[in-house]
Amino acid sequence: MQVLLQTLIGGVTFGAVYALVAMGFSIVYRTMGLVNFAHGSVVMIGAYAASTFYLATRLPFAVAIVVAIAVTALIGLVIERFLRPLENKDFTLMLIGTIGFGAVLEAGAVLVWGATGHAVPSPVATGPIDVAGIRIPTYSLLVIAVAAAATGLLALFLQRTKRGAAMQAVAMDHQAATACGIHVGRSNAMAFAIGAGLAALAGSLIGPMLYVNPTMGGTLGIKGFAAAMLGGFGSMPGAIVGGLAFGLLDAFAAGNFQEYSELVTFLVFAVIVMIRPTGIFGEATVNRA
Amino acid sequence: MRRILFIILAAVAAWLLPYGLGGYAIHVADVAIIFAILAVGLGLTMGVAGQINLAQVAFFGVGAYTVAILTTRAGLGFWTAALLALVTAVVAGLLAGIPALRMQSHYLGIVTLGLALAFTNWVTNAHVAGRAEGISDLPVPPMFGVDLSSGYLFYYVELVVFAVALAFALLVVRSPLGRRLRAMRDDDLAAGALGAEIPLLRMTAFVLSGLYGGLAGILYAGLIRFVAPESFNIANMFLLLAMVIIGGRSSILGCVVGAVALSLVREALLDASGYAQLGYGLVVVLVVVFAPKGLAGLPGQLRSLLRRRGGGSRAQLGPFQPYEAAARAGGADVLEIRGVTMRFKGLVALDEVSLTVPEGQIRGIVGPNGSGKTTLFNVISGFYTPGQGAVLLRGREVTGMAPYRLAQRRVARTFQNLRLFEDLSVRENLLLGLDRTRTWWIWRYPSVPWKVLGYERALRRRAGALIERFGLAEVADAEPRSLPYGIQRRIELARAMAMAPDLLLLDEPAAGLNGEEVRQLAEIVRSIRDAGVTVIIIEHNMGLVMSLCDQVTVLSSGKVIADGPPAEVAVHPDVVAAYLGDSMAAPTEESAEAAVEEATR
Amino acid sequence: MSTLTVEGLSVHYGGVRAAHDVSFTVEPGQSLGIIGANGAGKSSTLKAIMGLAPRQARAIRFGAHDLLRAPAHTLVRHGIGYVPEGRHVFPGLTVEKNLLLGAYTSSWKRTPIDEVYELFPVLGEMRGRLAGALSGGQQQMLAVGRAMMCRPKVMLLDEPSMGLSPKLVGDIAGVLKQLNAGGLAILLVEQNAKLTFDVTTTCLVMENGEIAASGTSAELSDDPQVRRIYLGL
Repeated sequence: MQVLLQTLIGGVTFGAVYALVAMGFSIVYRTMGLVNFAHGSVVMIGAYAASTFYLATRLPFAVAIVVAIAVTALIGLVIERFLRPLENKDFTLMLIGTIGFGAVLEAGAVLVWGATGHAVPSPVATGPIDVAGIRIPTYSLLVIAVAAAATGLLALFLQRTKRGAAMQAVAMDHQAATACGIHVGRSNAMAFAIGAGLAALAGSLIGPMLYVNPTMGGTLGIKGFAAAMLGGFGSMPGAIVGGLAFGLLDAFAAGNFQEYSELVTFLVFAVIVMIRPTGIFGEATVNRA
Repeated sequence: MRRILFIILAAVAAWLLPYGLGGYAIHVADVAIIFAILAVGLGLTMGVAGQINLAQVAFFGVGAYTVAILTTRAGLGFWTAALLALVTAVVAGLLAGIPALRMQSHYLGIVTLGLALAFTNWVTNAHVAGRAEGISDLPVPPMFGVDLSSGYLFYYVELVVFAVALAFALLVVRSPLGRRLRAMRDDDLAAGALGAEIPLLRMTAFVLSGLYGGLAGILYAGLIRFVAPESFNIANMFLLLAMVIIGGRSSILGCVVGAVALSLVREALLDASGYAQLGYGLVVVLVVVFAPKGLAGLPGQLRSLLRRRGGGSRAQLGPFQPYEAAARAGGADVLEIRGVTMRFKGLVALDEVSLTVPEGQIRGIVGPNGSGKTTLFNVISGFYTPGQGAVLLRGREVTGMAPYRLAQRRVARTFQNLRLFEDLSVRENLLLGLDRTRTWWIWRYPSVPWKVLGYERALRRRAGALIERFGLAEVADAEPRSLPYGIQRRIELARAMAMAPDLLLLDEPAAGLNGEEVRQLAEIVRSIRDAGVTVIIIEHNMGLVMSLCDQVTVLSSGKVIADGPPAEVAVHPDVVAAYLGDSMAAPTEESAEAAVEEATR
Repeated sequence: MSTLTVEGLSVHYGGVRAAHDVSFTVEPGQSLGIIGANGAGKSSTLKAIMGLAPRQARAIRFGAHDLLRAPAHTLVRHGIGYVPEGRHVFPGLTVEKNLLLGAYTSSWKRTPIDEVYELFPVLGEMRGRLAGALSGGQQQMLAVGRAMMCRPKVMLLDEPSMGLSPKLVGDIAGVLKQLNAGGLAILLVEQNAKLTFDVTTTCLVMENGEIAASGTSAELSDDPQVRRIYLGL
């Protein structure tokens, strides 16, 4: 029982980060119909930016996160601008283009930070909290809280603001949105920047939990992507539920299959999406046959 | 003739190449050939068949690791192990292809990428696969006393394998199978309606992927005689992808050029691998944006640029040559629809629709926009499975049968918004309709390839006759999208007739045609009927319906409200009311379909 | 007051010619209809005016504004409302959000949303519902309502009758006549000739991407050829 709960906490912590990555994917997918395979690499850049800034300046971690978000948002804008000619045209080409950007970012990270990577000390000094014999790391609580706050802010933005509504409108019908006076390119750029910002947040948070290195983006990106798919691509609640579900799947696979956890995770994932390709909250245009 | 000369020159150059290379350079060439084989496999699956397969590098690994494990752990001979490795890789391809039956595009991409990660994870941790250190000291492949541990001699083995693999890939691409794969890539719905067995074709694509991956893996095991996880990681998958994209994914030769070029670049930048990856990444992005068809597509891009300057020429349709009239068989019902009901999320698009169409009739189906006409066609041709009711074809129930099966039972259709394959020429569009082989026919490709070529030649002769008949000679080798609307409509009709249908469904064939074109259409449809084909036609042009159809069925809000000879139907009070009156306020097919579409977005 | 002027408009998709050398004007308060069969180029013409289709033209002007050079998203600011073919409401947003987005370019504090609810009471009742859950007719009203939110001087409607029952088509006709009577200029593109003749005073007939005939709606509705082809009489 205790082991189970301990695994659960670890799973939820990573799940919260996957949820952030998945939300970043989803917001870009929703607004532009673009599957951003570079997203994982943006997460990695975010992790590097935050940790490097944190280690170099000794300023609070929160400041480092803000810096990381700014850096990646800028990268997001650049990617969007480059791929704009392909928007709403060739899906496969755009997908491959983002894979290309992912490679560029990864290579850039190797050139700037070296191939080896670095460890990040936990920004929270206090020891774990003991609740009925289960040790909850304080940093886990922080991660979950920050992820929840970010989710809340994003929901507020989409539901309550004019720009948020416009962004959703573009996602649903870009021609009608144009006729309403919405600048589709600008809206997409903003979606991309928000997506990249979410990636940076995820990267900053996961830095102290993992070892920050140039290839971390590959696995994290795929896991976040898988989480988005599990929940239902493009759905925000789906991203959250999918992220948590994938975090738990990951944690239980790690607990029961140790070094084969990745193998088990992806096989289980493949089987689940075979059974329900549209995910929990559903996006049905998967197979147009 | 020039092509044969080119092949001979290329072969001679490849044969003489080792004489000009040093020991290390020949190793580089050996590796480049292995990547070329991999790239051809990826080009076939992704470029030709449109399956986003990011597990190609894992198939490569499956081939190499199987050889390594079987030779070092089980003590098998190299070539026995190689044969088993090829089988294993193909099986791996089949298994990885299963998700493709359920999902496409990015979904498939992420699942195959996950499977590739799972493979790397397994070999990194399994004792039998040597964990992170890999397996070393693989045996040298024996070859009648020839020492294949020499990079020079191994080069010739690779060269032969590569030549065969390339020839086979080109055979696939330039024959009925490749055409179907491309059609499936462009529009799987229309391909299905032409009789392409989509599920089998997707599996075929993955089998090819596994085959080429396995082949490359075996050669790799024989060449390097050492396997380790990092040779098959995601970074190499990306490199492979870059080769295919830069070369031009839908051109096999382009893939080869891309693979060889990037292999050399990679070698040249070995000391600065970070910059090399930065370079590939940038080039991929630039290619995607500015030259989507890669190096192979550049000549075409330049040509079309020049042509645009010169101004296009207006193509002309030739006259239609009528079919020979067949003896009119009477009586039997070709199609019977019994109480078909079709709902979309609670909205009723078809409500207990029943009708029978006797052989040799031209049946008109009319009704206001959104009255369920196209839904009815989609039910008859297998795109939708009705909630209730049955569809019978010559007395046999075919309800819910997949479109390709109905196409095999000689049901042909056209689409309201034209679904020609845009990247295929007019001739190829027709060839797709003419090709009536089933997918299992592809066993001939590896066993009797010359028969495939013979069949293709016969198909082309028949396509020539069809092009003549429909007056398409002038546009036969153009891409449909460059042609005027009226000609595209004629092409789609010709493509449907290429299937030698028993029942032909025409969805608004006169839409967008001018008066003269409508007159020609009527003449063609009559000739088709006289040749013994039963025709059902949805049309808004009432003049055409009245003059052409033997019988007219009127739909309104998903119900049949009248059925009879045109003159009777036109004055039927319910029909007049549906068109002009003010009754019946029910949600319609349009809104139902739109709601479904929107909900799924 | 502003006149919508279209001169020598052509639309090509790749090699396919959708419309060729189309010219007309819509005077302030006027109602102009364009009828024609499927694929005759009517929708392409409207889309091209809105900057949503690839176009070539000698001129497209609205009053003093040159629409040929204006980016598509700025048209609404000049008072041009557009009701796209197939309605194209934002299905995942509420009715109210849909309407408010029609007023995207102005402040959301002062919108004519109450007038829209008055004109279409059913939209007021359903303001909290998702637009995708509305029936076809309600979606059509929503699309018209959304176009009204920018307080347009001219409204371009693309096949508002599509997929609607005759009763609802009648309702739409009533609304359009009411709006027109209130001074709103209307450019109505339709396959449904009866509706068009009912709503508009002047009419064009498009065939094969070109204007084949024009006249007052009354004249055209008596023309035997038009009656045969477009009214099925």
